[in-house]
Amino acid sequence: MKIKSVLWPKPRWGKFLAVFAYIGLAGWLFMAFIYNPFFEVYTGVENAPLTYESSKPLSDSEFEALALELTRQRRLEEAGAIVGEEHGEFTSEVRKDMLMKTRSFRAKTSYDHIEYFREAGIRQYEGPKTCLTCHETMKVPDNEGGYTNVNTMEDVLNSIHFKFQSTSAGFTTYGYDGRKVNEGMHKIPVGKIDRACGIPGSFSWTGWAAIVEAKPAHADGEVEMRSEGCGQCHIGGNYHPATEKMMPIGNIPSSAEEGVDCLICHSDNYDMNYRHAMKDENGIRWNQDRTMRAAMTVGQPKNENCLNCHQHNMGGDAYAHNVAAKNLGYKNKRLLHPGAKRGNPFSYESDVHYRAGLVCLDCHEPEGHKIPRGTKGTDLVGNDLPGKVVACENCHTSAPHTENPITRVILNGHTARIACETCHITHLEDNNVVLRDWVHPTWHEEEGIWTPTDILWSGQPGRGFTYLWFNGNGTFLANALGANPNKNTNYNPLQVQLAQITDPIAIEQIRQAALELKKTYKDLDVDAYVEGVTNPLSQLTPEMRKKRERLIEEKIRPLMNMAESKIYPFKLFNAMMYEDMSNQGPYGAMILPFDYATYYETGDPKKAVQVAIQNPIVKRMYEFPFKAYMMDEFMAYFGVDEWKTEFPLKDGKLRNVEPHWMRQMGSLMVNHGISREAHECQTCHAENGIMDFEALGYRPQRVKDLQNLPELQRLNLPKRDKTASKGKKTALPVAIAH
Amino acid sequence: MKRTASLASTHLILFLLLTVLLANVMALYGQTAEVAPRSGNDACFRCHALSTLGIRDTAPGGIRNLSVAPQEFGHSIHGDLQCTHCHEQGYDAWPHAQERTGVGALRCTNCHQDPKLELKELFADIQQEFAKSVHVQKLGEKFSCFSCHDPHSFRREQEVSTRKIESANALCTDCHESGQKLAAFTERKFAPIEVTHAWLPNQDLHWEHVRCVDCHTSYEAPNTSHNVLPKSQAVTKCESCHSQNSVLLAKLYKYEHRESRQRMGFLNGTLLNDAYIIGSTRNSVLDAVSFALFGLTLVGIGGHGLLRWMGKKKREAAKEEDA
Repeated sequence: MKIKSVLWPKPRWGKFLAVFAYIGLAGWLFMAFIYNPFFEVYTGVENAPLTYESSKPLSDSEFEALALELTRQRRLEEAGAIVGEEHGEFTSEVRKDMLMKTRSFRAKTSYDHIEYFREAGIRQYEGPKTCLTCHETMKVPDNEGGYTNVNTMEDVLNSIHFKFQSTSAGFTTYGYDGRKVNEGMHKIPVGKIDRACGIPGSFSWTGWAAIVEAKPAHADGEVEMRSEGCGQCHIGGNYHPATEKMMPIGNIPSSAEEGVDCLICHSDNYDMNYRHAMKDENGIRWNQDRTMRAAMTVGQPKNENCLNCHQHNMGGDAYAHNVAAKNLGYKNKRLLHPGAKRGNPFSYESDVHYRAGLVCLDCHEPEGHKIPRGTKGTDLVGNDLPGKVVACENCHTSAPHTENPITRVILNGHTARIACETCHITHLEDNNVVLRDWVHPTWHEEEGIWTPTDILWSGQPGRGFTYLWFNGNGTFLANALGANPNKNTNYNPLQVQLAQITDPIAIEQIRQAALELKKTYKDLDVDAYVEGVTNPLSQLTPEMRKKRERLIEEKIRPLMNMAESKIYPFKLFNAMMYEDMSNQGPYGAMILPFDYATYYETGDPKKAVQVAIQNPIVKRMYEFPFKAYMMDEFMAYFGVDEWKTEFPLKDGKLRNVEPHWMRQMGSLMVNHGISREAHECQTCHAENGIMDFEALGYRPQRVKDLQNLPELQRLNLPKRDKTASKGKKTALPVAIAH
Repeated sequence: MKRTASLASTHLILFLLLTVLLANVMALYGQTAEVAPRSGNDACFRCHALSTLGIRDTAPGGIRNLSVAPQEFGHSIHGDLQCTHCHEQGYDAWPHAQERTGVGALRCTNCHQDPKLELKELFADIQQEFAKSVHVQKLGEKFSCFSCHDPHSFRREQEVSTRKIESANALCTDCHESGQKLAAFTERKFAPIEVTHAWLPNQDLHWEHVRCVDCHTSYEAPNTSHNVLPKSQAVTKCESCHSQNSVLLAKLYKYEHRESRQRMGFLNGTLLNDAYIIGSTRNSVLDAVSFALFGLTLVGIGGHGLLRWMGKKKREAAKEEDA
């Protein structure tokens, strides 16, 4: 009787409450015992408690010794920076020593958290748990000039740095069907996690973490284990990316929360040697530095923290000043990518802002753990703060040139039409990869693995990057949208600049690379190969080409004419990959991922595709629920009418799968590697200038005018060397050159 | 015979002349087809049409804008002039002379004192008022016509409308509400306009319908709204405007009334003009009709009440009979 009155109380309000309680309970039971297990079975992802070997407790005396060492190390560095080197070695040492004993200097050069840990008795870093002891909530600016308190862990888990995707609006990307991504009613999770990237490993479920057997030349046939995968740059430490966040319901399990790596962004002493893939009974995941050495030196993120990961896609792994690439792992060393993704490094050596002492977060001003990307972009990457402007003009105004009284006015005038980067990024790194062939891998002696073959590297304008009109938006496959203010329809980068390679030096290099490939791949038709890559539209049927031309005018042209455009530099990129031809459109077909280990070890890309697409989540993509949930919408943006669910593997054989170059090159924004010394007037304003005014849509008369400015003769500038723009030949990638 | 010969020779000369002319025209045309026109204003607009043409000024965060929008200039009252008409020396080629030649000394009256130009008297009046204004008194040479008026976009105002009041007030608020432009003139800081005008009821309504100069310039003849007064002398009494002989009639509505009447005729011009000011705008016919209606309504109510009162006794008597 009593129990009954509790379970189903008499008063009406009691019954009301009870109904609510039962619904809640049912929901919880459903999630815990039905949805979550079902989700794991359905997607094949693993979740398990995460532990890290590097998290070890220190004794009090060990703690104090480490505190002393870390503080001394920092003081030495800062004293060195103040004293400088011009006084001779001995005097410098004496001066540093004096500073190190100075009270005020000591006070401002200690690590706050050493004292906090000492007081709180913290002698072991146990991951986010340790940080959250004090930082359970944090202040985040609201939009009214005040602050709100937010839950720190939730703030992190909902940031792009954790999720790698976004289900909301705020992309600067337009589908080839003319719709802005996620602006409509049907919102799908898109971003780095699943974008149709030219590097198939980026499909982050199949390329999350891999341990590869390498047979490097220096090891005399011994096997060395190496790490690879996109998880190396992820702040989560789980066995898979944040898959739960991709689904309409469900959330990150608490075990995954334990894997968040606070220190990679916040520690002054994060040791990237701990960042390697490791295997345990549940699968492969990425290790982290959870030592007290790293934890005791936490603070606001500095450039080095961001660059731990981001130099990889700016300067590249092979960039001389990439610090993280010097610390590859205590075991299973991370594999370096020889070609640079963008080739525009942010470093003391290569960027004027770094030298001026700026930190990343000065321009990318964060709100809590949300960091703005800026309001412009061609690639499909999520943005935590879509409205927030990150731009040169924020500091430099629209009149940035002040020094030369003769040229400053007209240079400032240029900013109405020309982006700062156009003149102030004069070249990219020489190993900037433009064309990458995943279908014909090359044996890499030194690393002892099969690597994709880079067909063209170049950091030169017109070859490694080009100039396009840009209104801040891009297409689904990263083509800059914009138009000449004269609205000339001859400006058509999807048919010209991004769909043709005409530079004779580039063509020659491509031919040489193809000839080199023919040594390994006897059946390769060199002429056809060169035609395919220099004229990727030749891969389309005549009907498809017609459709493409029509769709560009109907759907893309209005997007190009939207808003005001300026000329920006764009890094060019194309890749040959295996495509699922059942899902082909005029701009390309669904790219299939490679299994890293199979690819690197066997050099058999077809087999690598077979292995990768058997990953449960790829199979799910080819089933109805995923088709309805996101794939139809995804493909509509891709320019493909409907997602066909014929699985490309049948009876152990790939079906309707073909190797292709994307039908046009991608164009990626380059914004770093800014130099004070910019292009000269006559670098563009000359008949053989680096800027192809005609292709940019200027009318013939205007092209002549822009190439022959009488004012330049009055300025008495040296004539541009006719061979300068075309002469410089870039060294080919090692894999091809030998 | 002689005549024919002379005719023939005339024709020949004419033909030769025409050929030479045609050749010249063709040569000219050929040239223009080769390169863009580099003569007249087009030559200037090759650079000056760029919206960001300008330099950082000594004023903190300030930018001296050197761009001129070609279309706006074309539609302005000076749109038919050559740039070099005012910008005389040192601007015929680029790079221009490094010292600012002439520009600093340019004044509207440089041209507008020419007796051949219309409005000569008006400009003389404006000049006289302007010299007395608080701006010139305090800032001297630093303050010129161009501190407020941009000769490249100036258009003659034909009538008063809400949109034009907004642009007229923008001339004042450009400095008085923003720090940047103000800093070029003075180190003084002004409190926000909402605060300094806190006493004024219905602020927004006033901003929308009255110009700053309507209260802040002198009403003495010649009354061209250019003698900006110190704030202590501004119009602050409501009844100055909100009365039948509103001062606004001498300023804001001076042209409005004349022009709307011209356009719509006397009666419509008066009835339909979009200005309505409590206490000022009045149409006596409407007044009389309203009074008459009001009187008739009173009579109606009174009559009804009287009849009810008279009928009451009868109804009571009838009730008693029923009972």
